Amino acid sequence: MSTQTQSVIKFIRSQALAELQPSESHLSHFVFRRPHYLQKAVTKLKKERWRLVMMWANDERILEDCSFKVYMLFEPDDNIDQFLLLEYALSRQIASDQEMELSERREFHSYPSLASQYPNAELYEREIAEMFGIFPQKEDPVEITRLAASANRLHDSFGQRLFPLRRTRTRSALAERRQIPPSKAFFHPARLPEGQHITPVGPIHAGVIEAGHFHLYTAGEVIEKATIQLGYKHKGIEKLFETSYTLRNGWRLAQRVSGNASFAHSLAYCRGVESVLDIDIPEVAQCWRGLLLEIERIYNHIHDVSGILHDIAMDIIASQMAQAEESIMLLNQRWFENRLLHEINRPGGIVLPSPVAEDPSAALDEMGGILRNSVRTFLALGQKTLGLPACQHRTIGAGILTKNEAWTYGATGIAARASGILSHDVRRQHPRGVYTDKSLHSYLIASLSSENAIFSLDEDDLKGDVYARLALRIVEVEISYHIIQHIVRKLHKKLEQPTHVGNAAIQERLLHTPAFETGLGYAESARGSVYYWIMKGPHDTIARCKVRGPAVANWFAFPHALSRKTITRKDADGPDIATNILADFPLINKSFNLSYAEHDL
Amino acid sequence: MPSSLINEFPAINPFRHPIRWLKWNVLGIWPEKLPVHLPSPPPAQPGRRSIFLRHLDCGSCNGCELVLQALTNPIYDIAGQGVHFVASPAHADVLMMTGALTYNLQEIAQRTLETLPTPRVIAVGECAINGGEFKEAYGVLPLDERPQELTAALIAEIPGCPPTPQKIKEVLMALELKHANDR
Repeated sequence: MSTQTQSVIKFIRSQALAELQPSESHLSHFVFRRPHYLQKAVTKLKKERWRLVMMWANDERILEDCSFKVYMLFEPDDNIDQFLLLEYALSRQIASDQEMELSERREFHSYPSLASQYPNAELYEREIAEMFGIFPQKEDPVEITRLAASANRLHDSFGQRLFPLRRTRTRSALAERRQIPPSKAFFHPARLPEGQHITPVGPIHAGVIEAGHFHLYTAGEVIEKATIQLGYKHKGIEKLFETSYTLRNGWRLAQRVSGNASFAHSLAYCRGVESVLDIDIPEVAQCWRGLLLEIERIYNHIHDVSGILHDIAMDIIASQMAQAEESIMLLNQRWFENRLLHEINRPGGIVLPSPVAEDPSAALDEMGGILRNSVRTFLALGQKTLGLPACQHRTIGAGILTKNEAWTYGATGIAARASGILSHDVRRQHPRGVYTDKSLHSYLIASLSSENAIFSLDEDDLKGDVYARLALRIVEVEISYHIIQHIVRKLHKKLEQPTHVGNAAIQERLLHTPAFETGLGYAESARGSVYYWIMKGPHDTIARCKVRGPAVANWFAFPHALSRKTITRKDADGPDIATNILADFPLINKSFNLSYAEHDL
Repeated sequence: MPSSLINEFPAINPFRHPIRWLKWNVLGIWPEKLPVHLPSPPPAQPGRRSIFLRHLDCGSCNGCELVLQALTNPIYDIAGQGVHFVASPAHADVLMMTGALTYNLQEIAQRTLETLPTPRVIAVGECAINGGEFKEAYGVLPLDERPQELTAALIAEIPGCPPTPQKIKEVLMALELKHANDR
């Protein structure tokens, strides 16, 4: 830990009411009760450029504090392996829901708003308001009314004041409340300046895509602004974790949060549970997890690049890439019995499906061969395509998300790295498991300018446009391929070792871990960082499981990539205005690779 | 696309095909036709009609979407068999429904179904068939509360989480649609 990080933590410690014993060594956990001190701490963090990773609430009225809690997770901007968890206990002790609904004065059960310092906090504040009915303290009462009225995930069909994540809302109570018939209107046109019109898109799109509703405010062809209405696919996954799953089988749900990042999600969940129960998993399981995570990254990147090229009418190359992707998918289907790598991760290690378990070395050999062919074909195709004028005309300068915007609005993964924030990678910043290996870590550090890379990128190319995201995906496929080769060499020596700690060990840890112990799990999916925060209930139940997929963060930053903006170019004299036209919209959307299911939960 | 670009694909292994590699990459002699190995098309089935599909997302995890997208790639090539994904439900013969039906999408799904000339639905994946892992979630319609029109229009179910593209293709190939103007 650097001295600067230490000084920040020292300052937070001086402001906090208490410091709690963290669940892992790289996490500092502080408790606040007074808004003034919390605001001072947050101002300091903002000044030192710490990122707000996520923010969530928890109904802890049954615990000793008898109040709702709001948690905020921060991490430093550069490559320092450190987390900071701030816990704010709401000031009033409220025992029942009735008391809460009766008290008109919201300030008794509210928390200081972070949105003035961290704009992306608004996203989480809206979520907390919707799910718990606790509102942040804001100076402008209009802001609070807007927050109360905005429907993010719970649309009209759910009725008013549902607040499903409160612990008092049992399954039957929720089922009773949603009997209200759905309303018909979901398109609310606004008053527009002269010359502008709205192009509504969705919620059912023309293609094999998920459901989401966009309003593109256009003047002629140029997109001026975009507003997004999501939440159509809201299933209530966070509540489902609490009501129907246990710590031991929650991975079944976690892998189905988002299909194209199912391994990353189940991995983050399992790491969360392992952090709660304090389990160390066997090294061979770490290797398998790293291997499969990188395979998932490769097929996702190939899929996205192929999709982008399809959108710019380069269908022959797109089809060839799709063929390369499908050969990896068939590999999954044959050896892991599932195209999306389901049913492998468990808390305490991994369980290999029977084809791999019977003959792991043959599986590794075949995987190596097929991956080599697919990745080589893909890299050759990608490299050629990036040089084509037809590709460059459409992608360079389209959908620019500047570095400043990416930081302010909390973009993550490819979206952040393509804007120049290279350290925003969980594998690099918080290496766990197989990534702690020094020689493997060097692939990630050298990311852009590795010596014998087939394809390399200049840091100046990372301007946050579609081209940068396209090129970075191609670079990352190569890095992932090197990592896979490294892991496979390592795995070959350890194939005989057990891959799971055993159910007895988990049972024993479950018995000895007290209730309401918490843990944080994280992984880097192809789209960005996945975080799970898990609180253990009595026995093996889940008291709270907060899921933050990368899509949640990136959907917030995405509209800023669409809108008109002034940028400065190095070669030009003055500032330039970057605009996107209507036809760029699917291209920009695809280049972010946003998952609707991951956002809507 | 410039023809020089096509000629260099696929990148070949010099150790496996030394002569071909020498010809292509050193001497610059290109073959007239690339040695592309694609599966031979199945025999024509006289009388089989083409099918126009429309995808309807009812709250899936986007795993089934990945499989439906994979159907259009050159390996499965459903377009070669006369099966197409169309942009509007008004043009479609069949809706491919994925995902457990959520409350927020209930009305939209019903409206999409109304737009179809003849309502037919294929349930793709475990969630669309019986709610899958999400059947107990508060945002998902219980199976018995699903709209009558939707359950009545069901013509096939493709189980699996996610189903394999081979299986979906099999079902689509075996599908016999009765059209209103068929004699």
